[in-house]
Amino acid sequence: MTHITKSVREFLLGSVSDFSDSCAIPSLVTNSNLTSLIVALANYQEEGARLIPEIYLCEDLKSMLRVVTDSDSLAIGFAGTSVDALSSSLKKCAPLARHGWHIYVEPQNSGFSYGLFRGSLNPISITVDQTLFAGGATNGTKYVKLCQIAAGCIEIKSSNGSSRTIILNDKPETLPSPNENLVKMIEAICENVHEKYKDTSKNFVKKTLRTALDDCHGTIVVVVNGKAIPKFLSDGIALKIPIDFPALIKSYQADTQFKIDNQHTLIANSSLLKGMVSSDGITVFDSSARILAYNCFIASTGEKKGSPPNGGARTRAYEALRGKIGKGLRAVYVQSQDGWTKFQGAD
Amino acid sequence: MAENSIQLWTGDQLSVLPSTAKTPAAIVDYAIQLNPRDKRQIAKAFDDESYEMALNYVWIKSMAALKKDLATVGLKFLGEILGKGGLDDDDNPTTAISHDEAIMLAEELGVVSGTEAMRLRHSHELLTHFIDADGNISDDESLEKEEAVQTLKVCVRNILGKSKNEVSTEFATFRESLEGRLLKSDAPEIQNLAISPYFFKKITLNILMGSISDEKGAKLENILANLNVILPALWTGIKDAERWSVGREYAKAHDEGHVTAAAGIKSALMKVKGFDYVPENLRSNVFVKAAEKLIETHGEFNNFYNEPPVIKDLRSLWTVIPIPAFSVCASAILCVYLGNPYGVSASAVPIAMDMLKDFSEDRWKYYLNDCLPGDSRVLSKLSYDKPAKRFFNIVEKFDLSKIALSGKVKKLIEAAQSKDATKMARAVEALRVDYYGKPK
Repeated sequence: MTHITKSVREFLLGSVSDFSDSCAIPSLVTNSNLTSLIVALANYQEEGARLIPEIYLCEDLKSMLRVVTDSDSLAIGFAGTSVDALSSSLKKCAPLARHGWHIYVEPQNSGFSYGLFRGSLNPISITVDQTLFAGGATNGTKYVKLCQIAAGCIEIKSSNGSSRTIILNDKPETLPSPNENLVKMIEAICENVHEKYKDTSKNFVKKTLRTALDDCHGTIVVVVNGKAIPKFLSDGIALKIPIDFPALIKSYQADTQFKIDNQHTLIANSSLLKGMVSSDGITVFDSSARILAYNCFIASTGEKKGSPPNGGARTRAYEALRGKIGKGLRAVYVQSQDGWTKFQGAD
Repeated sequence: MAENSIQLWTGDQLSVLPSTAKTPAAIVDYAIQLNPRDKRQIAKAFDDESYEMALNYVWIKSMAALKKDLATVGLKFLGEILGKGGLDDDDNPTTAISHDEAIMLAEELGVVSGTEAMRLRHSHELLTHFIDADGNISDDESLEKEEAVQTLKVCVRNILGKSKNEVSTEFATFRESLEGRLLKSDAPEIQNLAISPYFFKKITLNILMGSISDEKGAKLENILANLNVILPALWTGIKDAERWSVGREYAKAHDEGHVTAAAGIKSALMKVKGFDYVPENLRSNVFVKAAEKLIETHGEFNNFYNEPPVIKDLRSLWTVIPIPAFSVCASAILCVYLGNPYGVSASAVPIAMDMLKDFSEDRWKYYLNDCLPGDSRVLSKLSYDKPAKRFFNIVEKFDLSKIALSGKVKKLIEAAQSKDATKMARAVEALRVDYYGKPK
């Protein structure tokens, strides 16, 4: 009889070694540090609460934030070694790293400082992630971002353009990243938004849905063909007046004097979307980024045919909705409790 | 090719008024934009020696026609050239653009030559001397016949004698190429631009920045690609005011969620290491908007009545003007203080003076050296007698002649210090030549 002990850590060290080398921040982004962070972030909790912080390891915070307009930072602590800095930063900052705040760690004075930073809190502004990683250009400074995108799934991205998705459970590598499905869903939601507001609407809906999905225990979102709620979704709360995000954005952008009222309206309605996504049932959009209904239910296919389907209620509803693509629906998106997603569009 | 060897766009310079047309009736007969009844009445008013009344009518008709024709390129675009962000294509050009702005634009866009623009400015100043902003004719003095005929000629030759005052086709082609073609760094347009007078560089950036806000899809991608070629070619030769305008556009695109635009400007700014010119926060935007509103109000009718509350709004933001917004704020405050050929807003001027008192020596130095040479609005004001005299006061009150200034600006300030209008006019003209290039 032989006994062999295998560690996931060994596997991880091998998986990220070329990535850490290419990041060129040798004092902070080491193979070992990345591995430790990946494991820590995979299912991070404090006081029993699940936390999903985004952590940036940067060569120089000030240089990194130069491209992020209206940014701010808050220094929290200092540690002599990178290992201590990473563990302390998570412990001290992760509970605060929400609602637009992110954790940073940077080399400083023969040690490492850590704290929090944020980008613009304007509801329609571009996210920090998009600003720092879109287009691949980096303003001559180096940084790496790590965050959990689903339970047991970590995404790491470098300012040099390379990225990795690390899966620490039995999900197959061939599965699309949860973020890829969200991007496809945003495209479907904003497909028929007027060209002038499309870019901003996509950005806004993505930001709002991303936050809502981080906070919820799973959800289903559909996009209908046309402007009306299909009959098979009539068991739900239909809004008498749809929440029209492009129209709200238009009012917000058109008000060049004092944006407070319009800003409040936009934020208030994005809160409603977050609440709807967290509710039971299905949230219904049309393809002009308007919310038509929420808390909707559909009879699952299996129930109709009399054969018990596999999976929970959400999976069964998803399967039923998939069958409606092209027959009242143009897209369906589901996120399970563990953060993994599925998407089915008309294509 | 030497700097300034490239000249302003020129339009159709064919003379529409033969030298044989000498009498008012003969001259006005060439005013094809006027109907026969108008022509008869103007000729009769000249015969009756009611020159002010006749010219007031001719001037109003001329300016309305000029503004309408300028508006064909889009009032929003004209607003960007003028630094009036609030202009929209649906606005009425007659009220949205002031007379001196219209003359300035006509020169910049090649509708009239530099010399004819100067004549139009002189005509404007002459009329404002005898007719106030409400159209009331002075009881004490009157125009001489020769002055009146000369003014009539200027209006007919440059505006009323043409069926349409077309913006130069060279300019239209250039604008189209920025939006419709992908330019390479070795393209002749780019090479020429790098050695062009400052106005061309500034207007090119204006066109690009304005189009980034307005365009979508393939056109936006063209514009962003061209920005990535043009900005590196221009960067070392442009002043801080223009660099800040690019930085502000990046911040605006970022703040308003224009993902494609922000990525394109970011890439261009990285090529020139220009992120020092991106405002750290959005506070400067509030100043820019308030200053643009003041410039807009200053250029509109009833400006003397409307300026005080608007300049109070700008002052209410007052701590220290953020440097990204300084050039536009300084220009707006100076516009109020210098006034226009008709005079000043008596209630707004003390507020403007209070705000000017807050400028440190460094800020004055920055404005005079880096902003004034490209501030065509203020330079244009200095060509008029009343605003020029008020500028003398500023130079004296703030001891501006003691500030370390560069060549042509120094001459301008010295002329103002010695209250020598002729010298100052020469100095202004020298700055205008630097800015626009030598007149053809």
